[in-house]
Amino acid sequence: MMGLAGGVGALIRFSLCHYFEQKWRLGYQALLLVNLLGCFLAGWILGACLTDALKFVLLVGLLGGMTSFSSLMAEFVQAKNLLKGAYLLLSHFLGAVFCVYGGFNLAVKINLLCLSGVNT
Amino acid sequence: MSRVKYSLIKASFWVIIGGFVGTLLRFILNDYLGAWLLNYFQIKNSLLFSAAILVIVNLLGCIYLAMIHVFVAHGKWEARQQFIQGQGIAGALTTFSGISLFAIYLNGVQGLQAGLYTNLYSSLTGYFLVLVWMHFLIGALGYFFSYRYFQHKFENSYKMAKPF
Repeated sequence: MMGLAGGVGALIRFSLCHYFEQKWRLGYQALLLVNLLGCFLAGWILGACLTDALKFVLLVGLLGGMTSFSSLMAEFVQAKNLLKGAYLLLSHFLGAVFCVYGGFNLAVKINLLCLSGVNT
Repeated sequence: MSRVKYSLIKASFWVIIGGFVGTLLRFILNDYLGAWLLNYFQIKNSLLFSAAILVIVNLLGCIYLAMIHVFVAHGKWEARQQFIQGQGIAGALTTFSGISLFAIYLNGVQGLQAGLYTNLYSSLTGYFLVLVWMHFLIGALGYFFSYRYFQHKFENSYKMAKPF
């Protein structure tokens, strides 16, 4: 189950990167977008009302396969100039913090809204 | 990174297979091997130890990806290996969302509900900062030295083959 989720995650990463590169003419930013989307979803799943087993499969399998650290390092090391490299790392770092907390807080807010809807 | 021409359907198939293997490898290394080492050496701070395992697995993935890039660039391996092993295995073996989540666990999960801005501040100053930047440093060095090592090896082998 875990491996299957990872395979699907890797396919999602590959397809999204391909789409962003072809349609939006993005280069290394395609990986940034996919990684940040993965972080946002990770935060959201962490805060969502799901079973522990499902959370584990989605977080470790699907999102683990979807986001890639080695590709980021490859892009960073092969960056043509220092500014691009610094931008890549800083945007990943700041973006990860914002996306994980944003996703988590959004999931908590949705949970609270659903609960208040059930109570009324 | 070298871009190669490919059939999208075939590449997707290879990526799925690679992703499957990569995720299983990460799961085994992180969870099973980590738990076994934890028990074997009777380590008390399990959270920090797991973070160290995560760094090591990500470093291995970076070294592996550098090796794939050099091998494909020099024609030693076919281009499809970049999808199976590069995008698939190495991509799924290393994870970026895992690092972010782990760092937040180190900062304290309960603190997540205290409010976005307070947590952002604590994240930017706490374990998150250390863990993520340590990952960046170790991963980049791992990729760089591995790439140079394999590149150097190939260049030497060419010189040996064509001495004049």
